[in-house]
Amino acid sequence: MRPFKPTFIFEVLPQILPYTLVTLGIMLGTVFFGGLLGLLLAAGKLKGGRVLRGLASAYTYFIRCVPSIVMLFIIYYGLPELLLSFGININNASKAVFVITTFTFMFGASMSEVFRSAYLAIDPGQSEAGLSIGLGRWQTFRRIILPQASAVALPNFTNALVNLMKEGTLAYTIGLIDIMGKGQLIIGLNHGSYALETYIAMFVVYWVLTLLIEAVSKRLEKHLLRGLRPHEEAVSKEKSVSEKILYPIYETGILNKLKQSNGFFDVSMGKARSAGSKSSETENDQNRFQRTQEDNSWKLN
Amino acid sequence: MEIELGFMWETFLVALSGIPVTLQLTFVTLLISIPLAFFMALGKLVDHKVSSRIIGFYVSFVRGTPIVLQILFFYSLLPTTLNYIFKNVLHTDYNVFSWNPIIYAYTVFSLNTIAVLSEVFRSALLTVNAGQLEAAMSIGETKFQAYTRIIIPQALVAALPNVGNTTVSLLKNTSLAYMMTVKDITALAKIEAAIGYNYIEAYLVILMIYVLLCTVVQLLFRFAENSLSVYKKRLTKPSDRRFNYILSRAAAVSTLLRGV
Repeated sequence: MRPFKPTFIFEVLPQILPYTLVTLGIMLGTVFFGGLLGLLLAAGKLKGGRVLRGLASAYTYFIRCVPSIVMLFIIYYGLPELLLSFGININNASKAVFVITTFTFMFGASMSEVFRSAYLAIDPGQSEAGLSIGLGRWQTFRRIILPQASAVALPNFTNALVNLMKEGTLAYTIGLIDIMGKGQLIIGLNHGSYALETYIAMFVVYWVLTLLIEAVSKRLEKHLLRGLRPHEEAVSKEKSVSEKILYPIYETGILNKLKQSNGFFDVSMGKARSAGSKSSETENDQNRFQRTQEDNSWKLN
Repeated sequence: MEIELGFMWETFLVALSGIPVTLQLTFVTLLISIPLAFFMALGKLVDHKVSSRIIGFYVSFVRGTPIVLQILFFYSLLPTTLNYIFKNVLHTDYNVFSWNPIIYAYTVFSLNTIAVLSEVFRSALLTVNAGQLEAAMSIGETKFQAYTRIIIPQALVAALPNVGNTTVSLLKNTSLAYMMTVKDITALAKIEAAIGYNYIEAYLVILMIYVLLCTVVQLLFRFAENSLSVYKKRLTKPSDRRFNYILSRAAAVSTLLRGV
């Protein structure tokens, strides 16, 4: 057996790195078109009549059950034929066209769920409040709903984006030269040797890309959540379980309040009520948070 | 554009024989992954720096890299390494390459699924109200008892929808097993298609079969959810009350009749 050659990883990396741009370009195109499709689908699910809603839901369900690679090959073999019957020849089109088309269909479905759950996560009272102080419908949406909904949508969007990147590697099977495609080419040029080293180099590139996307998203989320009140922020952050399971009473803050109070009068009705109402509010937020998580959980992987 | 329906029907029949392989891949992987993932979730919840660091690293790696790459990597790493170990370390004449490649598929998909499921179980354990533990301990159960009898059953029910989603995506990912020369639905249909270059029809067939399988899996999970989350429902729903009322009336009538 040929010994493992770690230095080869560093020889391959500079050859692969330029193709990150191809991967990112495909992702950008897909996010644009898939986002539009997702918006349409989400609008159909939220505001459409019975037929539209059914169609949009059926589409999402259908796509959810289809493996990306199957969709990719159906588009790759089927789309030129389909268009040819309308007299359009795209047989010489770039492979990127087929990849973006495929993943637009896939990504659109998951984005529709992201948009829908984000929209539903916002309390209708928010838009009512906006309208009641004299904002127009569009203004309410843009200034009140959108900033809050985007904060809810962001983690799920990031998840979908990372998924898109990972599934996008399948594009090499139809011959697109992105990170994966270039890696396969290098392995081919070496007649199959140094495959492990090349794979490790690709692992590194993809992993770093994922971590970068997640880091940017976390930053952005922090920025979007800047308007939250302190207790809401505490809810949106995940707590260490040992704290939650072992010392749950600290969660409500009642005990802290009791501790801070100096005498009997501080724990009078007013204070107790405020502590109580706060805890019930927290619980509501927790429920809401949980609900949105459940809504989007299907994109976990 | 013409679609040969006859060919599609033939391919459908051929690809149907790949369904057991796909299901086997999915369920064996789940059987391997669920216990391991559960312990991993517990390991991450215990505030032990080293273990949670290692688990975090593993989960981040698996979820941050494409599964295709994992498949290609392990499929080129495992057989040769095992062969080397059997030949040069253990000095046996055992032929590793005679193994069914499905073993490597189990390995890769389990590695992937364990990472995903450990996150699922972790968040499920977090959803169980802390009061449950206190209540259990207040009636004299030990912490171990409280976990095994109270916390974990509830957490598993909470995890069920996400386990269902993971199963669906695992089922979809098994379509990549053809890269490891496993003869699943995709591989069989592709072989059929290669004869006459009928790829569109073959992939449409694969698509239909996956939608079918995915629907069945989802229905099963829906059923499991409904039957396991019975405890969440109120004991007497209004409809039950009415039903009970009717029952009691019937009983009263029957006793009356018996008296007569």
